[in-house]
Amino acid sequence: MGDLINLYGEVSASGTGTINLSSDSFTNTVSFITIPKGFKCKVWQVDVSGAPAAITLLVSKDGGSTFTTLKTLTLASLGQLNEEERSRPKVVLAEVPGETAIAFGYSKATTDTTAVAITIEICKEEDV
Amino acid sequence: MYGVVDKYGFVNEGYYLAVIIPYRQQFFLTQIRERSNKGFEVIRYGSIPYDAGVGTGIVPAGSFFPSASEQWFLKYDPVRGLENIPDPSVRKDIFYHEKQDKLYHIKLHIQPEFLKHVFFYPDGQPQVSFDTQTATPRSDFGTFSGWFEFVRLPKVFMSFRTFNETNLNVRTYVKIYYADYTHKPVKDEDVAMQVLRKRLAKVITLPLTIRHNDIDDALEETMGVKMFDIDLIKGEVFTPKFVEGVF
Repeated sequence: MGDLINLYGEVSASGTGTINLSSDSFTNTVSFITIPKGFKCKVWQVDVSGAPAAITLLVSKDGGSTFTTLKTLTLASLGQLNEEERSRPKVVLAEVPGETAIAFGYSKATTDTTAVAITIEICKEEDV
Repeated sequence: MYGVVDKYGFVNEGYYLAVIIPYRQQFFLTQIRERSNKGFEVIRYGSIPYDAGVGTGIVPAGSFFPSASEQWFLKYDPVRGLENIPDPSVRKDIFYHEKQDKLYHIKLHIQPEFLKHVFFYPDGQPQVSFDTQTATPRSDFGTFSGWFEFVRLPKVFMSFRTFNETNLNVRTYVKIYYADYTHKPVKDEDVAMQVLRKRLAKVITLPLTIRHNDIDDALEETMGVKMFDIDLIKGEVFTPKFVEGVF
């Protein structure tokens, strides 16, 4: 078992962008998280609540300059949506330090607030 | 079942600890006579007690900790109940001691596990290298992440330096498992052979590859242990057999 990190963020703007993420495990606010070399990141849970929005899991292999969408989770109407990946989390492996990163994007039609709460795990490459 | 080690991997009373010092190609063997903290092995230490500019115990993003040229110690400060330790030199390293018959067997768990650390033993002396290149916390070799096991010798300080590869200013948490041994070194080679043959000892290799006077002094002068040749670790004296081949 590696380090579980609880992330949270809010978006009020309409349009598209990446979510600024905070956590009790770190003190700065970041728009993406770089993964240390030889480690992998598992995305265990994504919780979306509030205004309707599409939340995307984004992966970069160039240090956060460009991102590829791995998965989209859509909250279709006001409310809450939770997705847990109990047995098969999305896994992203870092081969080069500082080059692999994950981020969470949003796409929204209104300026009402959407909140996200995400649980990721950063663990050693050899960990199951 | 009462065996050589307990559930933490610490040596039970009456059994033996063999500590290999690689740069000497020798080891010492000692019997554990007493474990003064048995049943109370855990110290919930807390965060690393240094501030590198973003708060105490917080390792800055993409940076060395405390800095590229400084080390951190396991100070007394974060441990509640040890506030009144008087000696400031001892205060800087919780496992520093000067007793001949005492050893600390420690297992550190430093979270988050993705931080990379190098250790200095004694303080200021990096020990791990690849060929002639000494490891730094930024290296892809010679670092540890998460768990670290060591046996602390007397009169030698130990320090660490950390590197954070991520873009996060991460909070740290250290949990320590330790055994406070009172020990009695084995001085007789025949006894050592019997102990090793009968598998009555836990064997630990300390990752010490660079000779240092402080370590030699701790072994020879402070502890006064008998150092056995590494050949003996197998429980028998190694006698190479030369067979004259027919060419």
